[in-house]
Amino acid sequence: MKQITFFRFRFIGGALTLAGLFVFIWMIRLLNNEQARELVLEGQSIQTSTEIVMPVRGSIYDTWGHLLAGNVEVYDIYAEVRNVSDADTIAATLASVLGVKQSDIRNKLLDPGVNEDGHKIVDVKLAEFVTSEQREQILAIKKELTKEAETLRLRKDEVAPNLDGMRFEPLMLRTYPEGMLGSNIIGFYNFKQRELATGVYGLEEKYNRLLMGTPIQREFTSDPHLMNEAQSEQIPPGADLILTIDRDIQSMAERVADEALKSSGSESVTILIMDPETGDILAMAVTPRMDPNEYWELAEVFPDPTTPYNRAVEITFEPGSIFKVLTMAAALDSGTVEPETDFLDTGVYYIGGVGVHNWDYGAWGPQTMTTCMQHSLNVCLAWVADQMGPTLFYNYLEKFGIGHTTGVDLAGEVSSPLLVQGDKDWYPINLGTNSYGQGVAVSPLQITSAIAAVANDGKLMMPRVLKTVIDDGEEYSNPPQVIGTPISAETAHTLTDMLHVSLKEESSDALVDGYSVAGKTGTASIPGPGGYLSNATNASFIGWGPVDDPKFIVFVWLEEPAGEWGSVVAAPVFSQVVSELVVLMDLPPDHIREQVAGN
Amino acid sequence: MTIKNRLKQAYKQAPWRLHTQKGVLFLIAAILGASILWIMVTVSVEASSAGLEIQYLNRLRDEYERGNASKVTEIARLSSAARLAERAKELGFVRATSSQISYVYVDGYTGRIAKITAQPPGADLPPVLIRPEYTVSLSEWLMKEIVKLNEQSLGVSP
Repeated sequence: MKQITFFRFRFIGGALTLAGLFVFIWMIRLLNNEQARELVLEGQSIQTSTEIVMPVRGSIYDTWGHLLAGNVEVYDIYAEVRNVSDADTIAATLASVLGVKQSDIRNKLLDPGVNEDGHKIVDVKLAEFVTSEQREQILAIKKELTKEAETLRLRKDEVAPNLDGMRFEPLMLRTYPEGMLGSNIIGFYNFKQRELATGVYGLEEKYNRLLMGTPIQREFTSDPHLMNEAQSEQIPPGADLILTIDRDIQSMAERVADEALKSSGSESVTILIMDPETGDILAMAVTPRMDPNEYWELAEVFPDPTTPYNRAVEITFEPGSIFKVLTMAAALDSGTVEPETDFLDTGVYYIGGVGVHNWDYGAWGPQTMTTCMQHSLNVCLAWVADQMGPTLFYNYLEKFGIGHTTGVDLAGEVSSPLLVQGDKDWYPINLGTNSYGQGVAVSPLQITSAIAAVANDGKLMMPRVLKTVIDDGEEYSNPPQVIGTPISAETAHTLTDMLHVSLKEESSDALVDGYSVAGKTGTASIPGPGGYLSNATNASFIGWGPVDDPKFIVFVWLEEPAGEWGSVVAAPVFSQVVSELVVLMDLPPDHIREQVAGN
Repeated sequence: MTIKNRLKQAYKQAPWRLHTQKGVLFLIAAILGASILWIMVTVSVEASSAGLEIQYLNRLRDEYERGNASKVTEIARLSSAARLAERAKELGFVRATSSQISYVYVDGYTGRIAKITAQPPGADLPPVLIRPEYTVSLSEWLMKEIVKLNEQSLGVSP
């Protein structure tokens, strides 16, 4: 009997061991089986999902650290259809808080439809870009309903009003806290395009890749065992941009531009403020502007698709008399003339067989180069250009960057070609008309940048909007760049003095109490389909100061103002801008600076 | 009792002793089995808890980051140029002109300094947040190792 029991034990033990071994070997076989591997992979694909995670878009700051473009948390609202028990309450709640159509929400919940694969949609998007405040309101309603449900006595088939099945998915939304301020510089981010969203216009377009950062492909798993460091890795946000733009100066320039637009009856106004020493653009105000937070209204603000988004860089125009600054700079630097060189103005100068006249068709008699600039005499400047000859004249213009883009770090910059002697459409008269800014087209930034060289000891700077990039805590600066020296420092000082004296002598409306400024008015005819328009002009003024150590250069352009002359409409705008600019830049009046320098 | 029987008794354990030994052996096996089971369950639970905690902390971190970004933007909105100008106007301030400003010479003053509230560099975290022994259960580890050995012997590339 005892032997039989022992045998049984051994038999059962042996059988169990064999069975265990068999299961173990079978498991190994299964794990190494091709089909099993496919099944495992299929299981993993259900358990895990791979998504491309977009980093938070980098912020844009002004030169003092004021946020110009940032991000704010918003939510998409989804409903898990199988968990929804009260579609009516959800629809009514969303309609009351978000202002959406109740019937639309209800229909989405009751008839979610099928997806591309033909499967029934189980997760319906009910609303998008819901703000935190709206979310709080919805959550408060939910809380209230839950509270009420506890007090209700319901029949078996009745459901208390509830928002079950609804959930919020957070996401970051591009936002511009300053609204319209600097929108022409910043551009916008078309966030409604979701994964396809990109920067449009301005810095958002130019630095899109930097701002967007590096998207990361990340595996998400619902199995906590499979959590790994990759899933926990923090995705660095896109790079932050620090601009040369000063928010307060930009705000002032935009306000003055808006006022000038109204008072002058112009088509548009452009004001550019630059530091001539570094090429830093401190402000770039244009009209019209739009709120980048509502970028979808672009077509309403710019109904004509040919209207440039940023007039300062995306359009060229014939600058008129402000161009005489470059002609005179070239003539002085080449030694063709001196400030006191005499010229007898007979009211007409023939060049290439065509007569050039003054703006008033008058003869101004004996002049010096200083008074030629003061009275803005076309005849005199045409003579100066003729004395230089086309080769020398156009060489200087090339050196000033005319005919080329400035290389500013903004999207959409344009330039018009500079016709020179030998070009198919160039005629000798071009030399005459070009000398006073007709027959040659420049963008507002191009002319400002070129004339800024006169205010900067003859050094031509690359205009820049981006000062610094901060990427993952590392700071990368974008240093000022000298791109040429078209004229000598001596010529630059001489011309600055000439233009300072000119303004003082004529008691220009551009003068600013307590500050010495140099500058030039411009009134330009506008080319039309059959020649120049007879009833419209462009008025402009460019000036810089303080003349002994220029800290700013300001360009004002009024397109087709009601008043005819630049000196009448543009010069006072320049004066107003500079009066406020010196306060914002902490620039003391000349007599105080002289006192400090004397100590 | 014969001599043969007496010799047999000399080396054979008494039946109650044999039963006790078998019982103890069974108990040891049972306790060992239970211990292994307990370790497996504990490790598995710890792995799950750690994973869940990481998921929770990730969500929390993302939530704070989003919240911070929103607050920075909200502060910027509340202190925007237009809003400040409006507020100043409401409070009776007027725009100063250059002639109204008194300038004082301060030796060594270099002027206004920019303050950029940019995000700090990413935290230099150790690459592995969770110890490898907590990421798989004992059975999973055993099976993985067996499969690995098998693949190596078959020459399967990893």
